[in-house]
Amino acid sequence: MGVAAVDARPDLSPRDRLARVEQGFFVLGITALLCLAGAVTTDGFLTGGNVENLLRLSAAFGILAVGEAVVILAKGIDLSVAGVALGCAQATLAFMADGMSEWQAIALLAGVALVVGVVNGILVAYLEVPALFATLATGLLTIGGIDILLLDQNFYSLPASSAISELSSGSVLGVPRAIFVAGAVFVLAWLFVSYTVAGRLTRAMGDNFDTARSSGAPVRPLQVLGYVVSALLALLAGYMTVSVQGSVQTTVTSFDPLLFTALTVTVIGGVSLSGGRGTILGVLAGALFVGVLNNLLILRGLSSPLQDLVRGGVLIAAIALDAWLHPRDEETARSDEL
Amino acid sequence: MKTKAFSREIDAFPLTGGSRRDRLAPFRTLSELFGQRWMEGAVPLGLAVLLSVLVTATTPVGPGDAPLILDEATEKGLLAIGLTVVLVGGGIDLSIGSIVGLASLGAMVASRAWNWPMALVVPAAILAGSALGAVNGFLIARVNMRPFITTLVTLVAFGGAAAALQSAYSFQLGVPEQDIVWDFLGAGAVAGVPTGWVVFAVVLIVVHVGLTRSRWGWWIAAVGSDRRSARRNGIPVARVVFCTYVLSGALAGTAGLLTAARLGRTDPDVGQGWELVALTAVVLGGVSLKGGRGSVLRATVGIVVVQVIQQGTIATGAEGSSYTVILAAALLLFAVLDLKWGKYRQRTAEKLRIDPGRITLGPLVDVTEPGTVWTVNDRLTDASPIGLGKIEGAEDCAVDREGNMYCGDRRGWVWRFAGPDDTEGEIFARTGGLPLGHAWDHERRLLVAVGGMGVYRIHADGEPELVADKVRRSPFSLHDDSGLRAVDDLDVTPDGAIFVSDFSTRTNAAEYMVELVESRPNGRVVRVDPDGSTEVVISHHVFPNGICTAHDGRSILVASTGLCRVDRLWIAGPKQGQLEPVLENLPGHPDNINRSSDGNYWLPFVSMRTPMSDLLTKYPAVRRRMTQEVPLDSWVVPQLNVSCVMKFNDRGEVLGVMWDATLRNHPMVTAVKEHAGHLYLCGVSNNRVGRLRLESDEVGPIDPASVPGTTTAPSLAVVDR
Repeated sequence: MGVAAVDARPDLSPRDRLARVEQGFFVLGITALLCLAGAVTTDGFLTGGNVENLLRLSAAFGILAVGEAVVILAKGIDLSVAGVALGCAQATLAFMADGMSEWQAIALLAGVALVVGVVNGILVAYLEVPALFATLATGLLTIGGIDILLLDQNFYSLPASSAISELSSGSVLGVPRAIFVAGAVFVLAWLFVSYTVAGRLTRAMGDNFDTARSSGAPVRPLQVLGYVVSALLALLAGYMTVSVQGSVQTTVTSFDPLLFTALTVTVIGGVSLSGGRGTILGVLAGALFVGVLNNLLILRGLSSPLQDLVRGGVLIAAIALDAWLHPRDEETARSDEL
Repeated sequence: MKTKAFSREIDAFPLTGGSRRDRLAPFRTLSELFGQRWMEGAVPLGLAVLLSVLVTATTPVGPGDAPLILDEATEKGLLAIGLTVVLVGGGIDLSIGSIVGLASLGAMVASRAWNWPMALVVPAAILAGSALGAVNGFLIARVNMRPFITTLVTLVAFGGAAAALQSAYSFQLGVPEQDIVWDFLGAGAVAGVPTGWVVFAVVLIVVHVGLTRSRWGWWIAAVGSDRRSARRNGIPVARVVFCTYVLSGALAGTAGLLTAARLGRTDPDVGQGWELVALTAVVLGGVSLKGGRGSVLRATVGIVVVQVIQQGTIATGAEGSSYTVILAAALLLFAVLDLKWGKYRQRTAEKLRIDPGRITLGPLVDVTEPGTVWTVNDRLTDASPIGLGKIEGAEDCAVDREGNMYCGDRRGWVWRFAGPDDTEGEIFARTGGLPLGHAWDHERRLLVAVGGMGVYRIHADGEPELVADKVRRSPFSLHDDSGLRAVDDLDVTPDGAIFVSDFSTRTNAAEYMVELVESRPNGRVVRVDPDGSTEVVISHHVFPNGICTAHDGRSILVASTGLCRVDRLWIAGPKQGQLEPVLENLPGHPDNINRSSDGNYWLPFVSMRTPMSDLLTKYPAVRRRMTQEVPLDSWVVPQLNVSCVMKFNDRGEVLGVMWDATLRNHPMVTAVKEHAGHLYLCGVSNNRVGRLRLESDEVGPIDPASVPGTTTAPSLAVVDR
């Protein structure tokens, strides 16, 4: 019996079996259950109009979460996305209010977003500043700087006939445009992460940075690329937010709810904060879950602090699940991994 | 006769022939400065203080704003202290802002809506803060969640809870309630100092002492520095991490209580954004984001700086967001600074450590020229080996009256060879370190200068006893020069004092090559009195090496390996305390000096000068590049592979020179001892001790092993001076 059991599957604990299941399917299942529960308990949930509305509202943070996921897959984190999204959207409206042409303003702010992405990338990849602090600071600098330099009102509304407002109105091939754009972003991101060399190396780098570097992956340019993608998607998400809301209130906050939602979506979707693990399908599932949850909370008429509490609880549960499924190895854990 | 204490130590720097400027070693001073532990926080902190000075100079902020700044600084300072502890423990706590809000609201609600007595409200607020901190601690330490994202979530969640509490009790909260405790907390004073300040000061002192002086604090730093090492050392990592978050929460609760008392009202906005303020403050104060290093005192300075900046933005009427922008910019700048400064400080210090100096040597005597006293010969070649292959690097030896020979070994042993015919030997004592110079004291006990350890006395049973290993640290010195580490040779004077050379206060005894290349006046000669007290008698000497009490016992001879000279230090008589030259401009670098039986002195050379090595002494910059860019094996140094022993007398006349031109048996001789008509040759890199028979006309009646002035034997060495 010398050759016994060569191809036998190793004995796995329930936890390890669970860790191997694609979390996207799992979350999709929970979302379906949530929908079922919502349909039973809440009137007006399972109507065509509500579902379309729900998806339309989810588009912005879904796009933001895709950018965040690309960065987290590479074992980084980008806290500047909310600052970039809201700051750039505000600045665009401010320029348009001053009479600048819309496309000019968008091009200008796209340049700003690009610069922020590159700066983030350089800080993290080349200067080796911890991503948390670097992006926290650049996000605040972006939105604060835009507030000081460009804005002179507390409130800007979106002109009715503009490209940005059309982002969430009308439809393409029968699909509402917001959902179509978000879907396109998801598909492109899926193709990028799964089938391009850069995407695969990004995941490899997130899984084991040193090995990726030793095997010749251009780890530093790849990190910069991740932050640039994230910043540009944040810009798009900012326009989507403004487009859905129709106006924007200027704020300078350190931890905007938008950032919080994007992080929730990413983590619930199974993109592990320890890097290298997760799929775009998971992010999609996460976005749907959070969208349904938000919708239900509003339909049930919960006060906004209570909504915060529920969302916080859900995210805590998701992070705890992540920590349980993918525990950090005490032998290799570093103290500065925040 | 007791040697009178020298009125002041002799500064031997003029012997190098350098100018005043050559005394300074600018690169080395920089290296020492960078190497200081306190420099780690000093640079970020200095910049931060500069920033606040800049703010006070350019904005209307003045001394009048100090009470307000301090009020705010005490409340946020409590957060900064908690955050520092968490950061030192390798975590981060962002939820403190919301804990402040929740605690202040909770205290107000308890007092005004539920009418709790203040005796209950005060501890309840602090306990509530601790409980919220415990939630963080549980999630991070037990569930193993990531601190940043976890506390970010609890920041939002606690904020939501505070808002819910506010909306539930908004009506009752508007009714002010008079209470002496509220007034005391908010506007009262202890001995004229506002209560908040007192609370802050007490917390600061307790946490500082705890963090730096207690096992609890060391555990936190250990966990923050390296979790794995901490766990393997048996530190309860999870419990320590948990405790840091509980402490942070408790301090945030206290801050909330103080804020509520001071403002007399509260709303959920209280505490919002404070986490960013505290974070910026601790980073400004030089607390490392990587964990393990930080001080609450520096964090306190950081919070004051941040408050000054805030006051500055308010005073100039700038937009509210400019404060946020300044904070973010400062956070980014100081995070980069923390990282790069921490990374390059040690590296720079190491790179600048060796800073060669300039010395002036006279023209080189050509020893290869035939017909001079220096002419190379083969007198040493036939010395018979003792302990061949057993000894490793005996720098010096000592022979007692019975003819037993004791010698050192670089493995930290002292060998004993019983009688002149024993070539096997045994290990007599284990001193550790690098045993170098040997001498006998008045009671015929062996004294050994152990490199890296100090002066030791070895008893007859081989038990080593420490005689001296430190001197008083020189004042105003960045560098700790109190240890006797590079002790090289020693001798005993008639009054029982031991004079010992310490060739460098910087390098250790095994790095003599560095000292040879650096040629800085780093060495000194120290006197150890019989009662064990020590005093530096010659300072700023270049590589002082050989020490030998003169035959008349009134002076000691000091060889300088670096300056190729021998000087006489008078310890008695009219010239006491003066240094005068005996031999100058020798063709080699002298090592240990010892008395000969005919009233003269033996002096071996550890290496010979070459035209190349002489040239290099004039170009310190070249030597510095050499030490930085070339491995030690390839350094250009004087010719180290020689065996040259010379004999000289008290007048400084060279009487004879013996060589081993073949270099076969004794490639280097660092010390010679004479006993019973034989010369014992020792070398710090030789695998033997050589025993050479002297011609009868070279031998006199003196016992070189006995301390001068203690025997009644007729001295031939009375030199008329």
